[in-house]
Amino acid sequence: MSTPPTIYSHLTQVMLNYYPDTDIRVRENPVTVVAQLLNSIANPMELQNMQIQRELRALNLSDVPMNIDNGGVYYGALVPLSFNLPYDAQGNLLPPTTIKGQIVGGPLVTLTAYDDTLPVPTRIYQDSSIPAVALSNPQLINVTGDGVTPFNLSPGVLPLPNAILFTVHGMGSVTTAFSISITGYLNPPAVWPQDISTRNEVLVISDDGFYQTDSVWYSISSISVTGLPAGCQLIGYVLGVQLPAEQDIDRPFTHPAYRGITFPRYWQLDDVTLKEVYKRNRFAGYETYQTYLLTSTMVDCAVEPNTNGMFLADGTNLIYADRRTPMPANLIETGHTSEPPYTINVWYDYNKPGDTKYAYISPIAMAQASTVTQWRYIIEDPNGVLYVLLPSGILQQYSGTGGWSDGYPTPVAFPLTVIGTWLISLETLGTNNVKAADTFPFGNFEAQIKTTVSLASVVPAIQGIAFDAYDKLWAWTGQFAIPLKISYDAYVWDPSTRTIYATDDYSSVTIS
Amino acid sequence: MAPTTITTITQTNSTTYADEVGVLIGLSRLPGETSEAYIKRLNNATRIDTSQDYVGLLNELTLQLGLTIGNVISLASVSGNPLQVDIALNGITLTDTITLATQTVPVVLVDIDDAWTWYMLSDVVGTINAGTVATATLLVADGPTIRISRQSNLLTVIAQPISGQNVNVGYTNVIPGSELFNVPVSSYTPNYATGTFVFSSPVPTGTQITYKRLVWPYNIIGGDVSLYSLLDPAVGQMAQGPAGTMVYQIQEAVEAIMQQDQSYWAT
Repeated sequence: MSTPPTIYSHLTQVMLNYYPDTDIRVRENPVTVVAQLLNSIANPMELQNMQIQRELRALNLSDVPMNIDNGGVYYGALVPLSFNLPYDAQGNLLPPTTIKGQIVGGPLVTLTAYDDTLPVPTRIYQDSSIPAVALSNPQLINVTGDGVTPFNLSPGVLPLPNAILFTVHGMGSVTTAFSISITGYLNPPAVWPQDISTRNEVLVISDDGFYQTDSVWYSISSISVTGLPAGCQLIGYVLGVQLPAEQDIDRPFTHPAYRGITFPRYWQLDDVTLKEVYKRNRFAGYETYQTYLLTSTMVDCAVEPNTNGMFLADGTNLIYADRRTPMPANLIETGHTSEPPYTINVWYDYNKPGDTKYAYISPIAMAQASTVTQWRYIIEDPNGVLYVLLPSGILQQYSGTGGWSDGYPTPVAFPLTVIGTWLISLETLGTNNVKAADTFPFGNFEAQIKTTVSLASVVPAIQGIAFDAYDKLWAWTGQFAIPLKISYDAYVWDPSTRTIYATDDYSSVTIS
Repeated sequence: MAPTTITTITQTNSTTYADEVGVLIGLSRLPGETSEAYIKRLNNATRIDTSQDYVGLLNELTLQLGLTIGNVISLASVSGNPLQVDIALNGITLTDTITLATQTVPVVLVDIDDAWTWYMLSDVVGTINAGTVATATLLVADGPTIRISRQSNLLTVIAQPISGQNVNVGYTNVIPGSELFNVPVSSYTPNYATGTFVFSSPVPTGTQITYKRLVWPYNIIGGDVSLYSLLDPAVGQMAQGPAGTMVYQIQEAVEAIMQQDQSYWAT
């Protein structure tokens, strides 16, 4: 028997939206039996989608995935025939149980299987093959339009070659477009005069959002902005550090109320909370989908391209996390055989932002709603402690008879003080005191941190992190941008040749 | 099972998305080359000339072998006027295009044994700076001048299509009087410095212009690979030693050619 996925795929909602919009519970509840079944299909679909995205990117020379497959270089160690390798139940040759690599001049480290959908770093240091660059201001341009005045500037040679990222905010009710015309030399620059030719790229923009040039620029002789609407702010970044939000391009957000429409997904930092947000349109702003508790206050984050990971920086450390949504635990409630008078929907309470996350419980009247005479909310925290939730939002010690209110259920919010899955139930008493209940497992998640690597010996203090157009991770100190090189201390196993392909160069590999 | 230590570890390339692009471009990955370095080479391959002329051949060599060519010496004009820079076996010739002052800096010395001895780049920089035409700055680590490629900053643009009445050819420093048209055109007022031509009436459809242009400012180009052939215009001048004999390197080249193609042997 296979185990259910521990990740709630972003594609599950796409499939749930095939149900009619009158079926609110199936559409909106991420942990119904239907949702769980579809999620088991959505997870492998998401993996396929990632591979397709990578293939599509490989069609564009400036967007070829570079940060996966260990940069295409491995270090092979042939397992001698005298070493007895284990087999699995299907007769496939398995790698040695333990594989260790001797770092030259360093310790002996245990290698793990390399997973390029979530490559967890073990060591991060300055990449000596690329010079650090002086960069006191990552913004090339920061202007607010008046609807008339064009903007022109000539940045010249860029501090580092990169695609230019633009953020547009404040288009308001304007329905016309404005344009950004960029002229310059592409990277890598040609050397011979007869090979040197200027390129031009024009972005025509008609909405708030993030826009990036297709070209990777070495130098820019001119950026011309025409028609920028009044009050609209345009910022262009040579390195996307400290952005108002971090794009998650590969995982568009699907809203239960909008079948077949996807919205851009973003990440934002709020003290010790990592917020997964989306934007339905320029007027709605960023709306929170999920929040995750962090171990400390972070200064910046960067979505890792082509993988499921993301990097966070707290000033000294780089933190690597899985950015996919976890499935709530404790999915123990069986399905209903008859429809309860009321069901509940639970979501993050946007009205109570801050370090403590609040859950908002919304009762949904079903066909037999009018039969309800009394009701109460029962809460089970992640440690299994039971509470009665009063309509005032106060948690009271559980008792079998406590907390009942007359009439019909009302919405209520309460603080989630423990990390994990909270089981939230609405119990109702109907005609002849028939009891019915609906339970909603709601995850109060923490960030799925896979590793924390100190960069104290590399940079004095990190103020920002970002990937460039070549999928290279940079740390920004406020004055300099430092290119980073990542080691994984991992291996890929090739059973057909009995070879261990290590991601890093070791003086020896020890197997047992 | 008892631990076993493997000390024979071989660097290996895996097939990545960069290699998929490489197949389309016709450039394979070098052993041990990372995707990062490989993509840079692939990017170059899409943009630089790899035809059969001197620059094209040098470009193709750098692409196929993963070598580097770049700016090695930067030049500035003492007078402020643009300089014409011509580099061949017989040296670097710097000419002020206005005052016509000239300086020639040798790059190779034919020594007493009739062999070419290459000067160092720092020697060349020192000699230029000692003159009155230009000042030079070394941009790379010092090395022999064989790293400097044959080159000139006087380029010929052939059959560039133009249209309209006010034409900007896209390059500055067009050499006065060098322009030729493939069809008769109306009278025009040229601004050679900016590369613009204002015609009295629009040029006929299909008009092309051929002209010379000077690339200025200019840096001397060189790198990991350099090419000199028996067809080099300056070989005749540099192939003869003090005693009148052929210099050693040319002897070697001729002998190699003869070994490859026996038809050179007289019977």
